[in-house]
Amino acid sequence: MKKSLHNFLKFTNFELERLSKFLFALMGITFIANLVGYIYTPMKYMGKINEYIAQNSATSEQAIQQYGPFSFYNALNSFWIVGPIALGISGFIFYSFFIWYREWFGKNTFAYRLLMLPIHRMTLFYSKLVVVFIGIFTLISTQMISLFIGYPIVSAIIENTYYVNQSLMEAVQLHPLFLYLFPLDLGFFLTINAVGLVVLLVLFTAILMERSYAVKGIVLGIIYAVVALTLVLLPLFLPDLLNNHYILYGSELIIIEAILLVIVAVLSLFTSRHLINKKITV
Amino acid sequence: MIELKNVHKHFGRKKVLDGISFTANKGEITCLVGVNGVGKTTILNAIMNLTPIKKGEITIDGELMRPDLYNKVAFIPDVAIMLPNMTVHEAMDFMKDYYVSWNCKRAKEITRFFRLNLTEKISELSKGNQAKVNLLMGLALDVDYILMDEPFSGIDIFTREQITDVFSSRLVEDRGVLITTHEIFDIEHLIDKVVLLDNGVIYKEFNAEEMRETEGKSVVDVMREAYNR
Amino acid sequence: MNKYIKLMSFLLLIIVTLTGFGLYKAQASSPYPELKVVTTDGKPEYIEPFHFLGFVSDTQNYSNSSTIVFKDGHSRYMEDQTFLERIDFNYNPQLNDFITDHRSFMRGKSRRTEHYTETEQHVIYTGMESDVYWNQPSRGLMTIAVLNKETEEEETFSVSLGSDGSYYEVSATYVNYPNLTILAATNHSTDISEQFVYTFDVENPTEELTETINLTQEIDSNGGVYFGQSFDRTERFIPIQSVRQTDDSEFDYTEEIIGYFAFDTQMQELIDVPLFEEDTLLFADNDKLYVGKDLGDTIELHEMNADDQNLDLVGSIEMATPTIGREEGTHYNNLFNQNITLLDGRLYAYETQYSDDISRPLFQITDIKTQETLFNGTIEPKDMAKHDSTNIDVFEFRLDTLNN
Repeated sequence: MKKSLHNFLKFTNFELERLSKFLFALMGITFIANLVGYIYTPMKYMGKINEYIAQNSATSEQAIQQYGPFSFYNALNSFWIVGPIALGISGFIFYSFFIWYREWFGKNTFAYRLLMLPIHRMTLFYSKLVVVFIGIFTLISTQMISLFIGYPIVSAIIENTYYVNQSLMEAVQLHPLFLYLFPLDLGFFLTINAVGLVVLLVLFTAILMERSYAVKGIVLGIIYAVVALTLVLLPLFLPDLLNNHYILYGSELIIIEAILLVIVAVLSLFTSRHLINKKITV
Repeated sequence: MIELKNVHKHFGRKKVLDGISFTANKGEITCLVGVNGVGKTTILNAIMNLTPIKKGEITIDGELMRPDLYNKVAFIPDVAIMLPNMTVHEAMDFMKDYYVSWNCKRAKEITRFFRLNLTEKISELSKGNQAKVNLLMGLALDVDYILMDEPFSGIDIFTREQITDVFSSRLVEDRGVLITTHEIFDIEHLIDKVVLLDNGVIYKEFNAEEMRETEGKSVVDVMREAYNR
Repeated sequence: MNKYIKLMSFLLLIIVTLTGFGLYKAQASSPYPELKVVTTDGKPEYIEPFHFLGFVSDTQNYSNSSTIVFKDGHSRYMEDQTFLERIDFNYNPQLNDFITDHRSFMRGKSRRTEHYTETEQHVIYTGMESDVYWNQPSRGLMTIAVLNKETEEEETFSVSLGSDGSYYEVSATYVNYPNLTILAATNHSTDISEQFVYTFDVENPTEELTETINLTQEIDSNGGVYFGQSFDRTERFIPIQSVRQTDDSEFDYTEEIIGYFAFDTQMQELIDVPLFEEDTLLFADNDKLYVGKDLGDTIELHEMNADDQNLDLVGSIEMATPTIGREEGTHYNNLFNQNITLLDGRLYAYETQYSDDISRPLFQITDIKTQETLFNGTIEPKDMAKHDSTNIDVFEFRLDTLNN
């Protein structure tokens, strides 16, 4: 047991080492783009205001009426903040595939070495899974830290007259993206992450199917993903199938969903274990 | 002893192995020979559980393959299998981290023997040196069995000589070696046992020395016989 | 340890940042204010039947807002409920109580309070099939379900209101067990929605509901027929208001009250109610009918004899403000008296008060016989110095005299 844990930590560290360049790049892009956003967006706004005042010899009240006041939320809702988040999300969707396929399709076939390591092959599976999550959470943390740096920058650039004194938390809570990324509501945050975990488990299983059965495996993988999705979504259609929208209580639906997610997760783990131990091909 | 019993393997509808049974013993060099595509590499992959078999059983000293047996059997494939951006030194560290059978002293010896630069990245090495790194990763393990897949393919003559030397050195000593090659000349004199494959079955299994002594035929002669049938 | 340096550093970064964020969030959102009942007149215990859902918000920090449940004189924030409780939460206090007390009975039934009537022994549900499943053409089927609260026995009937594909909307069901008087609207013969009164006998069930009267035709209303809000629905009389609609433009119209009526559920007849020159109020309580003359600061309350329509003065009730209870609520569009009602000899009134842009609910409870004010007051944060910018808005309330 202790040895397995040791191997798991060792391999996770190794995988993280391999991810780090990609992760540092994403963190860097996030920081730099955000910083540009914290400076450029409010400056652009102030530029517009000043130009309006100068051209129309207007008062600041009239300028506010024309362009509205500026809050930290306005800075958050710009391309410079949303862009890196979108990049991070797509980056990690890509990385979830890449983390497996690079072992086969890289310059060297590292899959040979990995599969011949004297450790349980599921250790590789768990490590890759955990590393994807560590990557995602690192980016979330980066984004959080960046907000705390950006908040005083924005308030310093915008003149008091035009600034809506909104707390950082208020601005974050208003933004729909952060509702999904940040632990603003613990129940919701855990749900999102649990769903994310199961999606990743299904994806990894489908990848292992492809790695085990080639073209037939792609079909199998797609069928598996569709079946898993159907199984999880089925309870949502129960009211329609039973001609009654109130046949299940919301809490019951959540519990059924949670059970189904666990079933899909366990099924994926067992399938993956079987595939990686018995069926995978270098 | 590595033992294959009635091993079957298909690629789609194509039968690659059709009931293969043979043994490779400790202290012997067993050579799997046959033309390209006959299933030699598949057999090695199957022994290492790197590809599933349809039917049959493969055991190592009577046991089915399991993770800790990778400390007992090493496989040296004919492709580079360490990460290209690792230096030779890092690759050795990686091996040391995971394999209890990794022998540091021997690893150093081999690097000296092959004259490998430890600080060089694997991707920057010549093909011959990459093959040597592959050999290093397998030979520095204190294992009972070593499987080698086409160790001479695409290698220059001098490297080939160096690799050949390995077979007669104490790096192999009393281990069991299972090797596939279709370039038999280089090591013919070192081989104990030959398993000749044809069309997914074993055409002939014989002791190379006995064959030479009793029938006066070299391994290549037997191969020729098989393919000219 | 050095071996895991990358792993440890990333984990540390995540843990420190998330914990820091959590702490920052906790200190940024000050805890929701504790609320207290402030009694201007009378005794605080009389407010207990007022059961409401409200919204507590901070005008200085709008994200620090929450829904509140006020029940039995105490308040509880939505945040204090468990995750699963919150998911099952209905924005209606009565439905929440029903679901808590009769979970199995409530399964598969609509989530509209007008479909339920509770008596001491029973909970009666009258909802259309289309109220629980609206993805198919209406079959005009009504589900009537009766729950015996003591035995937990349930009896369900499926009755037809007509099979021409019209949709029906149940406004209320009055119960004089085993007789039900069901108010439902449909538009099956004209473009205008028509209000019907149906009856049903739980002990002698029929396959079709018996139509007693077409109120829209009977009252000759071109505009609308509205019913008085009742939190009890065991009264003998159903207060009815007839309004005339005048189109002001293509998108807008004004309404004018043109008459008051009462439907006698025992005699099954419509009674004309005389109008005062001043604003008229009409209430039903148990087996009595009351008419009020709205004088602003006071309401002159009369008991009306259903046979000869004679009025007997009960007394003059002093109101906490000139408008309390008489500003029409807009929660339900076919109900009047949404903020004022008579129940078991007491008048209950509610209104939202504003001072310095801060809103507070104002409640009044008066005994109609003695005209004594039993309660007059509001609800506000316990610590007013700390929460002087807190709004309290009521968005759904009921009177629960059965359980209080």
